Amino acid sequence: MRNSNIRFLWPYMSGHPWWFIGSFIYAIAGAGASAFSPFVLGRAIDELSNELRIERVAMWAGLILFLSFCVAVLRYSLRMLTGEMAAVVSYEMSRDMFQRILTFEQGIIREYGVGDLLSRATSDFIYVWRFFSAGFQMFLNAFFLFLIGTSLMATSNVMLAVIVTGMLMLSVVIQLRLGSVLEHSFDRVQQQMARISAYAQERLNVVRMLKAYAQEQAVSAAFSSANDEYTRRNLQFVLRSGAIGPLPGVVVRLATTLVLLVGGSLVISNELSLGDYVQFIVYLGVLGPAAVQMSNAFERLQQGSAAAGRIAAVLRRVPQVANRSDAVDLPQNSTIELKNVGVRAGEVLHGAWSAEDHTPARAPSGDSKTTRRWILHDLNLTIEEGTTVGIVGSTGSGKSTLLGLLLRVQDPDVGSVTFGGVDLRQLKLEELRSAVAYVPQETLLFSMSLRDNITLGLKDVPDEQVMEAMDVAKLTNDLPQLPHGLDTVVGERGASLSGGQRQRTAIARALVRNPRLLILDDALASIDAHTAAAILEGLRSQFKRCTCVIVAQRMASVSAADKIVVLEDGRVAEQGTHAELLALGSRYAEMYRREVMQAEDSLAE
Amino acid sequence: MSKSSIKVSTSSQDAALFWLMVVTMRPYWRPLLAALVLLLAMAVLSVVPPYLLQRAIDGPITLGDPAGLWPIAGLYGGTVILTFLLQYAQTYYLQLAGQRGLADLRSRLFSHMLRQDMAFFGKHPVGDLVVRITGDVDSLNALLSSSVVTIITESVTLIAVVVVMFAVNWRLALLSLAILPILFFATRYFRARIRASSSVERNALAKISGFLNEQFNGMLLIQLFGRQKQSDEEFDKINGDYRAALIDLRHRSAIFLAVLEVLSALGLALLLYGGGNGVLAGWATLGTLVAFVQYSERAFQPILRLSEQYNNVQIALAAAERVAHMLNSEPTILDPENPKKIVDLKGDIEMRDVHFAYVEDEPVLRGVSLKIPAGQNVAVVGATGAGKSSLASLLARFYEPQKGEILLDGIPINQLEQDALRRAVVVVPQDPVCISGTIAQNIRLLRTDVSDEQMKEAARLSNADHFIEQLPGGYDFEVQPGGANLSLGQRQLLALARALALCPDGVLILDEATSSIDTATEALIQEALDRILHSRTSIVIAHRLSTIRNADRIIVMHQGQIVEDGTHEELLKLDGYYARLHSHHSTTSVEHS
Repeated sequence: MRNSNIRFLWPYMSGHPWWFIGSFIYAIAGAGASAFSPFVLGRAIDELSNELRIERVAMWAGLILFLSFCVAVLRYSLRMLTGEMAAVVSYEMSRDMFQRILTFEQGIIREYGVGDLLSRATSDFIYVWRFFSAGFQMFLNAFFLFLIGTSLMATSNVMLAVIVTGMLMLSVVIQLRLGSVLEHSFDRVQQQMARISAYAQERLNVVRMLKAYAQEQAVSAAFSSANDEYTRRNLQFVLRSGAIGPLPGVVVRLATTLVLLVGGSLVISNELSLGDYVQFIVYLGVLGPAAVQMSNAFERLQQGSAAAGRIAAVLRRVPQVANRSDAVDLPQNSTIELKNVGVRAGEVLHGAWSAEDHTPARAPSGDSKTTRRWILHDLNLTIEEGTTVGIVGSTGSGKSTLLGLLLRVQDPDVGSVTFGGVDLRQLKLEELRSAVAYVPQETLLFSMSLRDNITLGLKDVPDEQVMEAMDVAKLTNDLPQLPHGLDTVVGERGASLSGGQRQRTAIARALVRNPRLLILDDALASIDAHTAAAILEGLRSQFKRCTCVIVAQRMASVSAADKIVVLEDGRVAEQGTHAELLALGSRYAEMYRREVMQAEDSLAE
Repeated sequence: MSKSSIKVSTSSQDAALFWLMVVTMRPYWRPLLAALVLLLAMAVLSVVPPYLLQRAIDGPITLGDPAGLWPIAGLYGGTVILTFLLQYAQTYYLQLAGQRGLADLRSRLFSHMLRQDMAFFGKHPVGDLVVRITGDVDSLNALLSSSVVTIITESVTLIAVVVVMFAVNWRLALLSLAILPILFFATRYFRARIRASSSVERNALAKISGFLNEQFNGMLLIQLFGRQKQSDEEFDKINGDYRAALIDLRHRSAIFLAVLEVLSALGLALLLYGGGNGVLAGWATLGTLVAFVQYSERAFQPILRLSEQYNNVQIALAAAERVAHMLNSEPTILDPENPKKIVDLKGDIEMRDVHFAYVEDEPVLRGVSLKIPAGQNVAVVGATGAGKSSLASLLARFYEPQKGEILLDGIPINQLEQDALRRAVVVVPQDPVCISGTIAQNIRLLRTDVSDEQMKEAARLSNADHFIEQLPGGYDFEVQPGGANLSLGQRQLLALARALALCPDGVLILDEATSSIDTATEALIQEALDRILHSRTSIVIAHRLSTIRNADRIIVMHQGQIVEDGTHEELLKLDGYYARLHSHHSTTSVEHS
């Protein structure tokens, strides 16, 4: 499992052999220089205990300084090389991941959730960065230091070297073993923290309602008990880590005690020089931290490869909605036909590409294919070129899923959707996209200028064309309100627009590309009836060839359409013109009657 | 993570941090004191091992006495074990005190926030408030359990080491400490450079995550409108900036570490050469020299460790200031000291010359006087901004009028406890909210005195039972955060049920929804309202003619004042605003159909 994750990193590294050669050279040379330093110190001590000339000591001191200079240069080089490795790999992976996500259909994005994708695209890359910059670097450094250090110790005294090495190994093993115990405990702390934070967030969001029912104290008490649970878990964790954390260090210091005793006796019995003795003690001071580094490095490598695995899962994902290799150009005719179309609810709770079609009452309880309900079933519908078709139906009748098929953000499980007689799946996706414009229910504005929001995805659109679209969308009159006109930055961090202004911006965004098929998903809800009618009228007169599909909550929005389709339980229940459907006297007529009653009742301002 | 940039601390921050910690930790001073004592003992103990090494070399080893090594080694091992035990005890006491103190602070912050008036929530976004409770309290925790410990331990260690060095051999002490000032200034210099670079790196990362958040949320549009290429280019740029920032940060810290390496070797070489002279000249022993090699390492460590704490302390200071600031804000709407009691709520409402503004000089209500006898059903109409919703908020005392008085059953509402008032007067807002939890929890909230029967009766009265019973699990159906798995109409029905369950016979103030709800649910709501309103005093901010027609009395508001007041017929006769609204409306709905 873990190996396969690491294997996934390989393609990003294989083009750079120098990364490996270089880092091995730097690591070995650096570790060698640094391991020699206690050795040199030991020789100096020996010289001193034999009362030789001070010049010799000066030489040894100079040598220590020289070695440390080499260590400094080599370690710097190693750090920079592994840093470059880390930065380049995470940059390239991050780029590939974003490019891949750009091709994902909504189904995949919903399945992961934006929050999840975001955490993979940010914090997981921090782990990948650490994999190389800390894990790889520390591992190489500690490993060679260990190797060369113990070899040098062994040249002085094998037995002592074996004791020291054994103790250091023990300390590494302890850290790795106990680390996983702590990890579990820490996860529990994190989970509870997430709970607390979600609780606080949610209650503060509805504080007005809580106050209206005098719930402040009860909610505070509930928060306190969640908070107490957090404290309990956190205490459990810190007390465990307080016991486990220092253990490796204790083992190293106990090893020093042994060296002190055994080595001391060896010096007395002349089996070991005083310099060697000091050298051993200094080595423990160097190798102890190296042991800690080694187990930290393991942890980083592990976390990094787990993160790489999560990223890999995204990168391996192949979107369903994609260009076929034999894709053809868009036909001239833009009549759309749906034949025997069926769409099942997805495996995840949100099966449809839009949440709107998801009604909890019918949420699939089992995820297996057999129990997945049909959102659209046996649906047949023709949308003639240049006509306006209205689609109505209650929540959950499948309206949004139908739009998803027309937009090809989703493919049908059964049946086919054709554009000018060609199955959408055989058309070049970019061409289809540029011919179809969509105005969603909820307008999303990006944090860019109004112009860029309208010309989204287009290049070098002359202002006249933008203004033309804005005219039809009845947005021109709002322009003087904006401090910098078309250049005003809107979106979350920009000027705030009213719901109606936002929707009209979205309409202008759709119109500016002169679409062959325009899809309005309840996109007139925040616009008053007069303006909505004017927009539709302008649309009809200026975009004659454009086919227009309007999904609406209100019958009034679609009553002028050439054809109205009533969806019920994923099928076409009725279709015809407003007059025909009224004459039919069935579902549409009933819905219309109720709406008129309510409209008369409403005190529209 | 705190998003604030690292600033140099100001004295007000220092004071805020100090007082916050004092107030928070005062109940736990005993374990805290114990931890401090243990900490000091540990720091002092840390100078013992090199001293024992010196004794071993100059004593038994030089004298050739193997038996003499045993007690020294025993002491050495004992020190190791004792240090470990002291450290664990210290962790135990400190965490006990710290975790509890900060848990108290967290709870206190949360209930303090809930106590604030609505004006407060208008000023503070919920995201910020949550960061106060989570991130900021965590930074204080980090300060206490790591920074404070490190600062105390390392300072005491440094002092202890320096004292011991001078006590053992002042010449060697001077030699080993010669490098210390250089180390100190080098550390300061490089740390500052690293900090600057690391804030660039954090900003670059924040930019990436902000960008991706927006892009992921808008992915559908990006694909449908073919913006992939531009998005890709934009991402490539900020991703490249991030890469550059990472490499720069890496460069700066690698340089720092390299300089440290050379500096500490310089110290060692100096000590070896000077100390070697001393050994030959007789003013130092070999054992002392070896011990000093270890002492000087122990003196270097604190300086590095202390410098690492700078960032954490700065973050904690900023967090403490924000937390203290939050705790200092007092709600303007308070319970009276000697609250009056409502006995047998009747539901008489009176407003006397009420003036109100959210922001100074922008009056919303301008002298509203109004008497509603118990049991009357009043509809309020008027254009957006006429002050209708503010009227409702004032009656529940979410805000305080600047002038005038509001009375319930003849008692000024500011002489009642807020809890008592809100059990007598309930406001159902336009946009109904839900909490995550079961349907039952959404109706009765945390009130234990509402029985299952009462809860279901309320659902029945409000017509919410139809949809609830169709949900899987019925009243145990889990509502997602924000009511994401319910429709707007269903949430509205649920809000009505809640009002009926928690305030079965109080005054009901209802802000009718303007947004479009599917026709079937709308009919259910209307039917429920007809049933509910007639048994009590009610004020409905009306958007529907039927609501108005059913009302006993209609009030027309215009620019913060009541301009017309009477029954439907009376107002039509008046031929004023209401009559115009009514006729205008009739013509538009004719156009519609």
